[in-house]
Amino acid sequence: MRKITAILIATAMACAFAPLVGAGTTDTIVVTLSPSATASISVDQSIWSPVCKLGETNSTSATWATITNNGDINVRVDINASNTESWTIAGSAGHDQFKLETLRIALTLTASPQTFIANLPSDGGNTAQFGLKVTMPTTSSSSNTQHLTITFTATAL
Amino acid sequence: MMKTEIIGILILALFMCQTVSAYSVSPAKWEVTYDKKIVLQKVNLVINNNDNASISIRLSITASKSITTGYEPLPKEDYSWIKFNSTDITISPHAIYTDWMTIDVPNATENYGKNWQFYIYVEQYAGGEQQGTTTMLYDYNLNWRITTPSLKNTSNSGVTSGVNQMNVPWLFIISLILVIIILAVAVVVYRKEKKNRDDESPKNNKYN
Repeated sequence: MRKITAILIATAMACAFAPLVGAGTTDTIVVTLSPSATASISVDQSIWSPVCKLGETNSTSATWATITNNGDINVRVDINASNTESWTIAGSAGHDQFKLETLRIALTLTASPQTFIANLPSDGGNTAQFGLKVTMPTTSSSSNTQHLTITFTATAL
Repeated sequence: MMKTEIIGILILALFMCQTVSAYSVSPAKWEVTYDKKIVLQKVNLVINNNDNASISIRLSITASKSITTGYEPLPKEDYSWIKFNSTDITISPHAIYTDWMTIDVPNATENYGKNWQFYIYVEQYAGGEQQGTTTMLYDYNLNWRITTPSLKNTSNSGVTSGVNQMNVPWLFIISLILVIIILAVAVVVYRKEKKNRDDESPKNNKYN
């Protein structure tokens, strides 16, 4: 019986120290791999300077510009255009109002971003061609040259 | 003075054929994943100006849109946890700018077990090729996600079974109970043995 008692006490001691042994084995290394992708788009045309009369339209070719996803992640491309110094961008031409459209990817531009290309891949078909068409105001309060900016916004998908 | 014709700027047409390479931002997509505890995260942003002109950009957090299934916006759309070292940056032509940002999620119970998503908006507000009547600018929405650890199982070790998944305090409690039971059994066995010996002793004396 003394042997049984000794075995029971030894078992108790083993149980008491077991968590300490286990505690040393719970530490782990967590490796998290995050895709450190780069976002980059570009258009091979930077400037368009059409010359046209009030009330008329002017356009580039439908494949005038090429937008390219230079990054390594797929992106959605939104587009918007600013007003000029004296004219407001609108859905139709009017007094001090002009209309700006993209060709091939048909869209009437607004001051707020709109989806231009839903998914421009980072590789394989990572380009899209488009043109621009402007409809000048019917009448204008200014004779100065007008400037506007077209902004492309790439959102990582 | 009104004119019926907008006179041209033909000389600027010369610029039409040049190629714009714009700028790039990295990382465009990032997943902030914590191990066992929510701690301060510091991440570098690298912006590479490939343009022939200086560019000025502004960093901000956009309102949540296009949230992926399984994720949600930050609580109350409060982005005060995310801080940029600089928000308005001007980068020289063909220069690389490196800056850092911090994500300081409060280490509170309600912030565990969350999947959040937000976008960093990189706006090119000035610079780039500005000649001509129409200028192309580029903005970026960087897709970032935060995954905080679960409170119930703060270890993401990937261990699927065994004692190691249990927390150490629980192991101590279970072991303590086992020790008490075993010691109690030992005491009972010892007393029983002693009683047997005591019971046997008078008999032996009697025969003696």
